Amino acid sequence: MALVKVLTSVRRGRLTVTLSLALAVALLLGLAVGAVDISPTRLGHSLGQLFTVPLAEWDYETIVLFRLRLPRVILAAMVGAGLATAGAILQGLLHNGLADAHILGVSSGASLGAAVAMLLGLRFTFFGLGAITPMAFLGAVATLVVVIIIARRVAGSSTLGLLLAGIAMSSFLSALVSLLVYFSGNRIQPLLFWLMGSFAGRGWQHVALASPYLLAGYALAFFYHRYLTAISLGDMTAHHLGVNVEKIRLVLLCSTALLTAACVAVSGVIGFVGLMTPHVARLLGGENYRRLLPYSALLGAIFLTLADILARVMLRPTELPVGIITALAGGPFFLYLLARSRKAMI
Amino acid sequence: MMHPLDIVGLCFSYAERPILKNITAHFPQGSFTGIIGPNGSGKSTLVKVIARWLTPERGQVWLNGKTTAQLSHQQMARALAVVEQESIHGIDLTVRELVSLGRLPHQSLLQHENAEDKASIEQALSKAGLSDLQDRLLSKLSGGEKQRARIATALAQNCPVLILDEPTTHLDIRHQMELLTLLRSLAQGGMTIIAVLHDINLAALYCQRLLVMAAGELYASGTPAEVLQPRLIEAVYGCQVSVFMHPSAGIPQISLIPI
Repeated sequence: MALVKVLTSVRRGRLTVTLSLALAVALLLGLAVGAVDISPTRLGHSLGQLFTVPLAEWDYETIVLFRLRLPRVILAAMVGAGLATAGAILQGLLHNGLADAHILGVSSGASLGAAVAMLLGLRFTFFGLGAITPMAFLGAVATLVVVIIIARRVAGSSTLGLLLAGIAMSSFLSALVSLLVYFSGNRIQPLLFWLMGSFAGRGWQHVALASPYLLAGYALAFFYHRYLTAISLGDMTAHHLGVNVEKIRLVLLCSTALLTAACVAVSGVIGFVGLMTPHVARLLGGENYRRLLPYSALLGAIFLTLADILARVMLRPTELPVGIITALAGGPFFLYLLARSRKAMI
Repeated sequence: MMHPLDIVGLCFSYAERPILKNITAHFPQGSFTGIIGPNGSGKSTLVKVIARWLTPERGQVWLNGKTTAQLSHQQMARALAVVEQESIHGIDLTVRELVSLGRLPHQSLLQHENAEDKASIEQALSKAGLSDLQDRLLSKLSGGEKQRARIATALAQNCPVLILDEPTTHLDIRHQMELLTLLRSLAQGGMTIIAVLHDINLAALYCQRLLVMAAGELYASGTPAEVLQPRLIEAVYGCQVSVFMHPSAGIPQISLIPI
């Protein structure tokens, strides 16, 4: 397809710049568009105010921008980058192009945590966050611990074992969520929304909760990118190259789990970004994780920022869950790519 | 006597079935040893045990006088390079990207490719005759070139010992010959080379010494002339052969006698 050809022909050094610029444009668009649009001149004015004028003298638009839009847009970009990175890591680690951030059951664990918080009507707050986000994070981390214990026992010998354990864990926890949904009557509406993923009403406290885990997860992955490339060639090949496969796999599983737990806790279950983005990144920059990780992160950020914009404007003044947009927009686009480049992707 | 590689009393079983029975062998520096034997005789298992992918039940592998049980993963990969039987799958890299992974055992977590790494990579590419193809993707290489790329990766590890498991299996005769010539010249350069080979005649032509495995045991070892005996081949492979001299190389070769 034309877009891919143009982008591939751009030299690799320039691709990072191109993607960064695209992300900047997407972020600005995300700031301008919403229940009330802000014109480019007003946007420039407000952004200037953020840095030059004391808080008390801000315009109404500037306050909207800072309190509502800026954290939301940043969060969408962060989550997009996190899910895409987790997907890229897992696809290499498990030798399976179908793996994504949700495959190890961490998302289902988070959903269970969120469901419990909602249905029990938990009301505690945690650093300015309602009960749902910390409970979701707790669910994700608990699942992570179980999956890693399984991984230590099973995955030493086979990645397929880990994959199957993750899938089994995922469906078990999803079934528990469904059970809660089944017995909860009409209190479940917000949970259904949560399960479809959304950035509605997310603020700086969500950014603050997710940032350290996303940064830690991404940093781990980036430090180990050469080992990850080696493992993607096959566990035995990596072993012969001096990689302690079991140890590195554990480290990288922790990395993906941190990324996924943070993403799911603040935004709910957003599918497709983690699965699709790494494949697009591969088409653009090849399969070496030195480039695959940053390209996946940038593309994921761009994609989810744009998807969130669509989620906000399609049914104005109400919103769609962004998870619906990612699947609606991502599905056909991915099929198109797949049909166009059979050889490159499989 | 200490060699780059010594294996002493190696035993390994899988599901209580013994696969390797008390294998002892020594590999002097600069030697090119071929391991031959029928399917299921334990050749690949031996390679995997030497590479510590499998842990031996008894016995030790010594690399330059140090038992591998005491070495870290990185130390191991600095002493021993392995080219596995299975071809590389999974992801597609350029030749140079693949070969640069051979430097992993020499690099720390945060270290970038330094001048020494670059020099080793260049040298490995040139020894394997891949300098011109270094930016090509592996998927665009021929079978022979792919095999050479994997050998270049092993060479970038700068190890004194190189083990290859059936490196010639999927290659046509010209590429088989090229590859074995490359291995022989590496051995002449001082590397200790061990290759599992299926083709007995090629093994005899290129290796100084052959180890014959049968049912998990080291059945025989010696020069091609000592090993390529009709009785020995019949006992190990269960088929009748006649042995004749290669017309120009003066090395024994076998020919099957059809039943």
